[in-house]
Amino acid sequence: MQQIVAGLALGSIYGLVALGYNFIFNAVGIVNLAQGDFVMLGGYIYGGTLTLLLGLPFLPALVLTAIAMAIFGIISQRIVYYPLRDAHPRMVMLSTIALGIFLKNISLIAWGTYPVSVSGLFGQRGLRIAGVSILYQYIFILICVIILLAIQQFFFKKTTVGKSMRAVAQDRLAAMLMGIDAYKMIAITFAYSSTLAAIGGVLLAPVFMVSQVLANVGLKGFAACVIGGWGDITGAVIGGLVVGLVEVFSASYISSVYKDAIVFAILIGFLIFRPQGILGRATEVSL
Amino acid sequence: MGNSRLRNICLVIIFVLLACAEPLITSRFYKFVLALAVINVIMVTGLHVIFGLTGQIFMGMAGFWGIGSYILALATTKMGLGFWPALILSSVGVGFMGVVLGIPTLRLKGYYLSITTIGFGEITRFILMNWSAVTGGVFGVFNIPRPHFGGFVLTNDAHFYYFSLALAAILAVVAAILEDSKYGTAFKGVRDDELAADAIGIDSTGIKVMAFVTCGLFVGIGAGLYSSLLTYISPEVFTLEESFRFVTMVLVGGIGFLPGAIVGAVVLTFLPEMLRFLQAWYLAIYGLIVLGIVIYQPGGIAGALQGFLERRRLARGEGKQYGTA
Amino acid sequence: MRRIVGVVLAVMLLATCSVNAAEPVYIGAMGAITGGSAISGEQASQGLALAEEDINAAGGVLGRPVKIIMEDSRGLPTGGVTAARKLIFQDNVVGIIGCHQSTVVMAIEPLIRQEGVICMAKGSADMITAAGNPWIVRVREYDTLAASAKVRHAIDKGYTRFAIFHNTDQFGEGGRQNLIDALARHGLEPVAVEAHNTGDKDFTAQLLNIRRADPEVLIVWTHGDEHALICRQVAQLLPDVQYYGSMAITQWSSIQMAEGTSEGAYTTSPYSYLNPDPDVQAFVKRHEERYGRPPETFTVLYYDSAMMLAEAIRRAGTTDRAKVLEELKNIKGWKGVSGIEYSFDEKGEAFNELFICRIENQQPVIIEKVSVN
Repeated sequence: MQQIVAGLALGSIYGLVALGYNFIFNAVGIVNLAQGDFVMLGGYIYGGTLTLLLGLPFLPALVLTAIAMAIFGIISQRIVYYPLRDAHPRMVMLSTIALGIFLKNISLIAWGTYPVSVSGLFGQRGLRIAGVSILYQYIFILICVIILLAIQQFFFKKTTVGKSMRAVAQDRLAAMLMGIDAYKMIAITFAYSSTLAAIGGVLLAPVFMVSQVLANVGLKGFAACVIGGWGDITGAVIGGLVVGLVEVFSASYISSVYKDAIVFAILIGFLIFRPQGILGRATEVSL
Repeated sequence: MGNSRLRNICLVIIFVLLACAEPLITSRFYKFVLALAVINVIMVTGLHVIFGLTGQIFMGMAGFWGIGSYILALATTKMGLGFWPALILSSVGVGFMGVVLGIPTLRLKGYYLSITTIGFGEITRFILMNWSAVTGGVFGVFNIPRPHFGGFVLTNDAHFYYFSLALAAILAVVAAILEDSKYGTAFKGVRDDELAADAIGIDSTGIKVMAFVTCGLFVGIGAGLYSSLLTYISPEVFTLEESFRFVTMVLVGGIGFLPGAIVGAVVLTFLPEMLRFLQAWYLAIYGLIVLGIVIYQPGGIAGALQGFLERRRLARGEGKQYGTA
Repeated sequence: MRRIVGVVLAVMLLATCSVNAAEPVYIGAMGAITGGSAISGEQASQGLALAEEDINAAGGVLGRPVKIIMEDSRGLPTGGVTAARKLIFQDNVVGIIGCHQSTVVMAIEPLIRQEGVICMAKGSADMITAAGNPWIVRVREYDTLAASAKVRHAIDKGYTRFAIFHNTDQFGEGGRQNLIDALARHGLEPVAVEAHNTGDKDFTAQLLNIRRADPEVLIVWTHGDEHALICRQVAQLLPDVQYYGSMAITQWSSIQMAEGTSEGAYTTSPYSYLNPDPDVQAFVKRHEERYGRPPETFTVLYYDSAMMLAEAIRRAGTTDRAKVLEELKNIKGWKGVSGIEYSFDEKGEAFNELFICRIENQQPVIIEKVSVN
């Protein structure tokens, strides 16, 4: 029971990161491999600068982090994506990896080598029901993920901007002919997915601390996206929960040192045998 | 690009320069870095086949490198094999890993293939670290021997250097011949447009597997030399960052142009050592440089060279026109 | 970063003012400046900056100023080997202080032996001095010492059911083996042994496995970041188990990161910033004024090593490495700013005593000093 709770808690974190990947993919059709580093940067801005240095309370810090990251997202799409919009997708992949390396190491210089530790709203307090304990922070993360999921779902299905974005992702030229400003849409996409990363960083900082290593959640988030199925927003969250559960259960019953290897193996298995993911919506992924 | 005469001329120039460099460099430190650079040249020649020619972003180089290093290390220290059989074993062994890794590519393309190779590299590192009964685990492998010819052991770093350089040159020639063969055309076909390649009857999956295997055979030799040069290896070296560093070498040199990749390997081996004074800033600046190359000079050094030659040709042509007019 | 540059500049200015422009004596050092363990490298370079200042303020050595060159090993054997070659062949250093990673020390061991350079290792694995390299000495508590001290302390308190939770890197694997050996000497076996990888963030699965074995004591053998997170999660899942940590949990930064969950934990450490010893306190005060936080273990160990190496050069009256090494090994009862008295034994170990600390009110309080004998 405790394992299931732990797996779901961890999984909601991966799901949160996966939402960011998913959003960019649905809107632009590329994968931002620096997404994990964006999460780390959000955590540093929130924890290192706004909370510890300026002493801001939670909500203003969250809002400011989100705004800062949205601006950062627009700038970085201008630098790493826009010049490559017509190049082979492999160049975008390389440029986002390079951006990730830059971010990891510039944060080391900006915020120092000591991990940034903040208490968030709940600190280390938690709930204990029938011998199962869970941190309030995890419950908070899960609630946030569900809210964000609903927003994202609503956004793509119901709003004009969301529909325009899907059009841009599917066929940029056609969308532009229909009068959609594709490049504005792409800028908005990056701004929003960076905001998601900011929220991720803010929510993760109290449980994981902020250091270079935090960027590694990016790879797990990516795995969550693949396992859940790309085009699908709910799939991303479900994928996250699956990855979390797999990690905890393989650590419990198979091997704690190979748990990451097992996640990778399952990821590769999905890529080969079920590239459309668990939910299996038949979106052809042409990467 | 791909002009094979230009390529051959560049290759000759590069290897002559590398051969002259050893006595010209007086510092024993930079001599060692030069030896490392040549080992990286061998491994990058392998990566050139899969990434430069076939266009697959292979992010699992550290896996190949790690497996190759460990095969040579374990074969010589634990199985009691001589250096030569061990080197062949490490080449063949990593080549075999190319098959293992190549099979998933039967169904994977682009990002998915790259992610699979990331997974492969990471899984390899976990196994090297934790399967201690075989690999010696995190404590690493000691006393790996240097190569020998009969009773003559290459303990001298200069001897080792020329030995590695000779192997690098041979492998570069092999890669060049392969590139000019019908397989080379097929590699490039897959790189430029996989669907079109399939349409004109190129077996793109088979070609990719073959590229992986060739890469493995080359990397196995480089990796074996690496563990022999260092005489001690341990598993935490073979990380994703290292894999990306190899990809960067090809990128800096120019995708698809072998001399470019080789220059990239040499430059990127020396760069961190020469930029040591930057201390903590180094990796941040490295990330920026790579970013700049991808965006503003995607052809790398080779692209710049070609642009230069093109401009000169144009300038000369225009001059003639004026002369006749 | 700006601070470090500032310090370096200040040190350089000071060095040029106090000692005349004679060719400096170079001392090498290495640690991770980039990469996952960059935190240790930063601590080390702060200690070295202060040491260089003090050596030169005292007139340098042999009438010449001392310059300490710190190189980045990235905490990896590959980085360490090139860093060591640079220090030896480019800078012609008398000795190398570091690295703090045992694997890096093992990777440069053949080179150290071949070139005859002093290496004052900071890795804790037993194999470093077991390699029998006469040029390697160690200024750090070694794993068997720490493991047996912990086990003995716990057994004296009446505990018999031990669980071990270790990192899978060389540090943790060595620690696990030493703990099992130490327990075996008391006729005991651990009831559970679990492992985690560097960079892991969630330890629930392993801690639950440990909980099922129902231990009285949990000995954790890992580094600072992981340690802080493990403390937090142990407080959730195993609140009644007596926690024994690695040296890392006495670090000021780890205590902050654990947010109170390391309260009551025991550990062995070569150093605590609470040590009332006036030498230690003077150094802590100076470091706090300069860097805004108390020095950590690697800061004092790198500082002490540099001071001892300078002293050995003074005593030898030359920079000849063999003579300096001889004088270095003759150092007995040297009082360091760590609060430990170093005496090099025939194996090259400087440590034969260690503190048992307990985290009380978020401070690493020294409970007792234990020695090898």
